[in-house]
Amino acid sequence: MVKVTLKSAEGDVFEVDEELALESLMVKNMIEDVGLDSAISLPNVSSTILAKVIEYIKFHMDAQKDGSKKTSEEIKAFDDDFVNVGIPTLFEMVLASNYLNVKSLLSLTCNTVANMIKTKPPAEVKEMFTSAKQAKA
Amino acid sequence: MESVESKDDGGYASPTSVLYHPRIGRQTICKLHSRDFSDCLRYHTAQHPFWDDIKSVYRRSSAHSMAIAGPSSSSKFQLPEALPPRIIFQAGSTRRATVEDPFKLLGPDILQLVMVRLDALSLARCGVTSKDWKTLAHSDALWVSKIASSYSARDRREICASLWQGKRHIPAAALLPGLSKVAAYGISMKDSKRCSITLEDLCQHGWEYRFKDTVPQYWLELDPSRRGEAPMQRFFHSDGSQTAGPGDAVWGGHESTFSIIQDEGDHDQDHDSIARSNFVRINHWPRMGVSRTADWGWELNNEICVYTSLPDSSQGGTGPEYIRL
Repeated sequence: MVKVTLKSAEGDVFEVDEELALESLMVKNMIEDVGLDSAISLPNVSSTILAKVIEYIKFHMDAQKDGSKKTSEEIKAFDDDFVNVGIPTLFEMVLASNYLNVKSLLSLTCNTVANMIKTKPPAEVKEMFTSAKQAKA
Repeated sequence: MESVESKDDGGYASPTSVLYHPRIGRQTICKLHSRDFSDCLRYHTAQHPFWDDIKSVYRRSSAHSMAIAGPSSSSKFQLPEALPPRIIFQAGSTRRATVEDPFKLLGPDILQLVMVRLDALSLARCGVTSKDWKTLAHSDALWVSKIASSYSARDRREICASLWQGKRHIPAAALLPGLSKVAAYGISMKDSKRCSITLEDLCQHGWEYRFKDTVPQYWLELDPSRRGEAPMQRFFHSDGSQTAGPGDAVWGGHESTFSIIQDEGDHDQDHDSIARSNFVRINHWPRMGVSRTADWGWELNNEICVYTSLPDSSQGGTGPEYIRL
């Protein structure tokens, strides 16, 4: 199995299967352009987030394989659990999946943000996104 | 081996540099002794089944690598294969991930991806959170996609196709060229709830005319819709007269006039009473109350008969002026 080396913003190196890395269209294009010899640098993605993205792709690749016993409920449970993170991490994942061009993850994370906004009155939406900022400041 | 302080962290702990130790608890990598570090890794392996693919972690900073691997090793430190790292997620530990306005953090393009997934009500609410959001939430691109998930065959109607799909009448004001789509949506919604009928409404549409069950058998037999045929049609003209469609057995041929009566007497906040206060009278016959149907049609009815407006045609209305065209 060919390995691809991905380098996060912090300089951490992740070695993953080529098949897995190709799920990201951005990495796929990079591989086509520069080949597999050098590490692919992803300066916009932190290690934490890159790790999460890899976890997501790995799970869904396994789930799609023949003979996988994962039911759609299990996949949904994983997805729900996967995006059950703080807003900062969620936004990081949106940005990362957009940057890495992982369509399914972008769709999942955008849906999550949309669901957070949905059915909330404007004041609450505002509060949701500013309260954490104030807490930090 | 001594632990080495990280110099370049700038007060932030890089998330990867924080590990959990069963005995010590959370600890930055650079402060760990190598034997404690292995303990950490063993803990993380047990916790995380998905990390088999990640075979190695290299530390960029030599300070880190010295702490991990000791001074003698190279700056590339290979973790044992069976010990993939687990990263403790710390909210706010990554430098960029402070929560702020998603508009600034995600940028309009991605926020638009989020907003496409919102329903009209939520989207309208987003429009009043801030100026930046308003620009985006009211953009035509969003409302076109929101309103026109399925395109209507009617030209110039495609904008609000989804909202307008299957509706009998679309207010002319919402079809004005150059009108923003969010405004078109709002106008349409508001107009669909309007119960006070105007002369334009009466004249613009053709009307189907049916008897109610209460009328005598003689009249019921004259009504073609009772026999499963196309119902009778009536037209209101802007000069105040009324005519019938061709082959109408009920139509006596005498002159008919109509008027719209606004009952100024009982206006109050209750929607129903406003509807009741507005009615149409044809000749001296019992007045007909005005109501709206779910598909935005008009309905006039009294004890004897029901008028229902015909769905708009491709030219717009179905009234006498449109038929002449």
